[in-house]
Amino acid sequence: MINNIKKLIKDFSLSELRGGLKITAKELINKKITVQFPEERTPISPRFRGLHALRRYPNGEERCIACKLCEAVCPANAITIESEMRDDGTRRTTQYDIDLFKCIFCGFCEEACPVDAIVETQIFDYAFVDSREGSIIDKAHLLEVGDNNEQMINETKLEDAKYR
Amino acid sequence: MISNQAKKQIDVWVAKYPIGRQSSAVMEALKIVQAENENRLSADIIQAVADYLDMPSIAAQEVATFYENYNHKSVGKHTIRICHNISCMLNGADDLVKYLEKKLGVKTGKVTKNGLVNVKKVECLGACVGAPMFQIGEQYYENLTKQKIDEIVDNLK
Amino acid sequence: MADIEIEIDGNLVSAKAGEMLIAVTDREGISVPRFCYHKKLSVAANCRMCLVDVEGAPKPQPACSTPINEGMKVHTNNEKVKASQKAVMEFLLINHPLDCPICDQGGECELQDVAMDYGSDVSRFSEGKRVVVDGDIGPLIQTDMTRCIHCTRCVRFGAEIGGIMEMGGTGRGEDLKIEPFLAEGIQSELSGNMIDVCPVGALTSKPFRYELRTWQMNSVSNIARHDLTGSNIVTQTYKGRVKRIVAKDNDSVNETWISDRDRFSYEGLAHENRLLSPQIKVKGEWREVSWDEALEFAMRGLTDKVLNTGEANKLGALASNTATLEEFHLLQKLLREVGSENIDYRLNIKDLENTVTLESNIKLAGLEGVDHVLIIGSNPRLEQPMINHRLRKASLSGASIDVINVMAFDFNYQLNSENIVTPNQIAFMLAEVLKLILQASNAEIPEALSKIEASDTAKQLADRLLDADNSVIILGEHMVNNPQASSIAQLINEIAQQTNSTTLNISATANSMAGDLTEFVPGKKGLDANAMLATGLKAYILLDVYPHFDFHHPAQAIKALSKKDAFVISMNSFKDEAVAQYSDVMLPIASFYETSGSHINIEGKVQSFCASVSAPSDVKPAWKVLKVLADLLQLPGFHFANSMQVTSEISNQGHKQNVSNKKLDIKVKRSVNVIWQKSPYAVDALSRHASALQATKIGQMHSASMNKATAKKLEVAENDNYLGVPVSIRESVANNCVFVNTNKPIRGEL
Repeated sequence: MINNIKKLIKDFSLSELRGGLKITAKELINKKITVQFPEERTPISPRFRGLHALRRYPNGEERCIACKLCEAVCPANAITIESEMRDDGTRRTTQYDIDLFKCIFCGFCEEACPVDAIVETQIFDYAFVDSREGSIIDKAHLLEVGDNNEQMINETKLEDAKYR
Repeated sequence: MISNQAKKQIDVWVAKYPIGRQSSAVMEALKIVQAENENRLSADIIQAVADYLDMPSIAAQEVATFYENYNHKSVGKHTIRICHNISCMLNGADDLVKYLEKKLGVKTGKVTKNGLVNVKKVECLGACVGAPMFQIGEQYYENLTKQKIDEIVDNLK
Repeated sequence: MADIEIEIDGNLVSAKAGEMLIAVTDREGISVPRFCYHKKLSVAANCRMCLVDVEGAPKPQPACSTPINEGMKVHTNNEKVKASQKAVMEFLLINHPLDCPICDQGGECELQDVAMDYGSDVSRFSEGKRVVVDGDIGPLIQTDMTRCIHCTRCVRFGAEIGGIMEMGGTGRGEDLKIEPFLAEGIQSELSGNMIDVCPVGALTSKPFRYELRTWQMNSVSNIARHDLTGSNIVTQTYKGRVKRIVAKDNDSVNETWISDRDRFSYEGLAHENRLLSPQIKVKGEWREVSWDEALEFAMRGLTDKVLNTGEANKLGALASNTATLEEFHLLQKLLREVGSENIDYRLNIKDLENTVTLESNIKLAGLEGVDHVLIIGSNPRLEQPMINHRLRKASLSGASIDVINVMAFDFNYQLNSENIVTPNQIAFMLAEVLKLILQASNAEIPEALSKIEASDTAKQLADRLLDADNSVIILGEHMVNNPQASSIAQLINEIAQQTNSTTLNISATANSMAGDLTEFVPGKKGLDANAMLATGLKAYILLDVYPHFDFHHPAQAIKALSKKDAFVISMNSFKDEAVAQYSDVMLPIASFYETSGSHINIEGKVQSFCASVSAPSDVKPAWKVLKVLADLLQLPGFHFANSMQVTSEISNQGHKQNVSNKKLDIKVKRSVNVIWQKSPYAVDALSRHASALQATKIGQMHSASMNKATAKKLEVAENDNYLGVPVSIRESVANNCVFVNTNKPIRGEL
C-alpha cells in the first residue's frame, strides 16, 4: 500500500525524467571524449600486437638470419620462410611471408626471434584493398613497414623493456 | 727433403722401437730434421718426415704443433731460452729479460733484424742452483748478470 | 664372457664382464649424456660428459671408459652426478658460440639437447671467446670450427673407419684446432660420415648449407642403389624434394656408415638436365607430347616395326643396372610375352661368354670374419666403399689380403702382397695358381695347364689359399673389359671350388643382382647386348641407358642404335644428346628416391623401398610406364596396381644361373690392354649430375695412367690425349696396360 503511494508520487513528480535531464545537462558542459578516428587516435599500450614488421640494424643490414624459429613457433602456421646462403656467406631469407588471415597476433614470433627482427607494431588499421591475396605480406613489405616505423618500434620496445 | 745423414740419425731412433712402431720416433725425427732446416719446420718437411716414418701427415703435424720445441716460423740462428720461473725470477730474471729485450731491440719471441738471435721465455730448466740462467743451443749459462749477458750475447755469431 | 650383475640406480642389471658402463646403460635405456663416445669408435673419454657416480670411487667416473665389475653400484642421476655434469657442460660452453639460430645442426644438435638438460641459463664466463678461422676442406663438408668441442670423433673416424687419418688436432690447450693437413682437404670416400658423427655443428653438409632447419623435413627410409651394398638411408624431404640424406643403422648391411656417393648423389635429382616430359620424334624434330600420345606412338612403332610383321625376335631390350627389381621384371616379361628373348643389362662387358656367378654365399657381415682374401682386378675402396670397409675390418682382425691388379691402388689396409700384372697375364697367373692347387691335391691337370710353369708369386698365392679355412676370392670391375674375362672367370670358379673359397663378384654393380634374379639376360634363342648391337635389330626398348657411359664401345653402340630402320624407345631420367640422336620416343622416368621398388644387394638381400618424393612435373615411375605400355600392346598378366604386386610376382618365380663349362683356353691377345673404369662418381646418371660429388677429387678423376715403357710404345707423353683422356705417366701401372679412370664420356674403342 505504502509502496504504491510512493510510486505514484515519484511518477507524477517526473523525478526520473529530471534525473536523466540532469545528466544531459551535465554532459552538455563536460569535456567531450569522442575520438575522431582516423584524425584522432586513442593511446595504445606498448605491448599492443598489431601489424608485423622486419627490422634492420642501424647500418641498414637486415636483422633476420633465417633461423625459422618464428615459423616453427607460429601456432597458426602463418609464416613461410625460404633461406639460402647469400653471396657474402651469411644466412639470409629469400622469402618471408606472413599470412595475415591466418595470423592470430599472439606475438610468439616476436618472442621467439633471437635477433629482434620480426616485431609486431602498433599499426592495426591496414586493409587488403586489391584481393584476398593481399593478406599475404612478403619480405619487402615487412621490411618497408619496419623502415617506416623504426622510431615507433624503438620507442615502444624501449618502454616495455623494463618489464621484461 | 731429408738428407741422408738425417735419415741415418732417424733410423737410429726407429731401431729403438718395435717393428711396425716406427712412428714412435716422430719426435726425434722432427727434431733432427728441424736442426737441418734453420731450426724450423715447414709443411713440406713435416710431410717428408711423416712419409719417411709411414704415418699420416696430420699425425706428424699434431706432434709438431703440440710441443714448444718445434718452430714453425723462422727463429734466427740462436735461441736464448731464458728461464722465468720462481728461482730465477727471485734472482732477477725479469730484469734480465727486460735488459735482453732492450739490448737486442726486440720483444721476446721475435727475431733480431740481423736474423741472429731470438729470445724466448721458458719454464724451469732445472738449473735453479745457478739462477738466474738461460740456455743457448745445448749450453746452459748460469748465475747471469748484465755484464755476463753482454759478454755472451756479443760473442754470438 | 660371463654374465655379471651390477646395480644401476637401484635396479639390478646383468651385463657381460669387461663391457663399458655406457654400453650397459645404453642397452637398458638409461640416458647418460655423452659427446665423444660413439658405439662404433674407440673410447677417447675426453669430453667428460658421461660422468656417473660409482659407489666406492672417490670421484665421478666417465661411463664410457669404466669397465663394469661384479656388484658395482652406479648412480646416473644423483646430486653428485648432476653437479659434475653441469660443471662439465659449463666448461664445454665456454668457447662454444651461441649461434644456434644460424647453425645447420640446430634442432638435431647433441650439445644443444644436453645443454637444455644440464646447461645453466646464464653464463658466468665474461672473458673473450675463442674464434677459429675456417679453412676449406672440400666440396662436401662445411666447417665451423669455432663450434668444435674437441670430441675427436671425426679424427677417430678417419683413423679407424675411413682408414686414413685425415683430421687431426693441431696445437695445444686453447689453441687446439681440429683440421686436416694443409689445404689438402678431406678426400676419403666415406668422409660424409664425419657429418653424422659430429655432435655439434662444426662439420655440416655443404650442399645443404643454410637451406632448411632440421625440423622442417620429413624423413623417409630408403635404399641407396649406387652399389652392391644397398645401404640403408634416410632421405629427408621438404616440399617434394630430397634435401639431405643421412645414414640409417643396419648392422647387417651398412652398420652406421654410408658412402659419400650414397649421401650426396641426391643433388642430381634437381639438376636442370632432367628429362621432364614425353617427347616423340616426328620427321627428325622432337615434339613434346602428352603421355597418351607418346605411349600410343611407342606402341604403334613397336607393332608396325616388329610385332605385326612377325619379327618379334627383332626387338631387343637393354637396361642399365640401376633399374629396380620390378622394372627389370616387367621389361623382361613384356619382351618374353611378345616373343623376344633379346634381353640384357650387361652393357659394358666385352666378353659375355662366361662369368662368375653374382650370387655369393657370404654375408656382408661375414666378410669381417674371413681369414684370407684374394682380390682380382679391383679397387674396392672406390668401387664398393662399404664392402671395402668390411674387408678392412677383416684385415684389422688378422685376415691376409692378396691383390692381383693392373695398377697399384691406395688400399686403406695392409696387403700381404700386391701383384701388378699386365691384364692379359692375369689369366696366366691364375692358371699357375690353379695348377699348384691341383698339384697339391694330386688332381688331374687339364691339358690347357700342362705347359704352364708356376712362379714364386703364384706359389705364395696358392699356398695362402690352401692354408686358409675361410677365404674369399673377389672379382672386381676391371675384369669387365679384360680381353680374357671369361678365362679368368673360369679359372676363378675352378680355384674357388678346389680351395673351398667363396667367390664374391663385384664386377657388376648397383642392382645387377636383380637383373640376374629376374632373368634379365637373353634366353636360349635370344641375343645378348653385344650381339644385339652387332647384328642390328629393328626395335629397341632402352631403360635408363646413357650410351657414352654405359657401353664398353659407345661409338659402335650409338651407330647400331642410330640405324635408320631401327625404332628406339628410350626411357630416361636425364637428357642426353646421344639418346636424343638415336631415339624415336623419349619417356621421362623417375630417378632414385622417386619410385618404389626393390634392390638386391651382394648377399641376395631384397630390400624394398617406397618413393621418398614424387617425381617432378610429368615424370612417371618406369614400372608404371612399362605396365601401361604392356597394356597398350594388349599383353596379359600386367594387372598391377602398385609395385609391391610386381615384387610378389617375382618372389614366386624360380631363378637359374647358367655358367657354361667350356674348355679352358688361355691366349695372349692384343699387346697393349686398356682397362677402363668410370670414376666412382660417374657410375650412374644421378651421381653424374650431383654437382658437389663431381667437384671432389674422386669425382674429377680423369686420367689414363700408364708406365713410361707403355707411353713410349704408344708414342704419348704426359698430359697428351689418349682416347680423349689426359695421359698420366706413373710406374705403378703394369706394363703394356693403360688404366683409364674418367668421369667423362668414353670416345673411341676400349
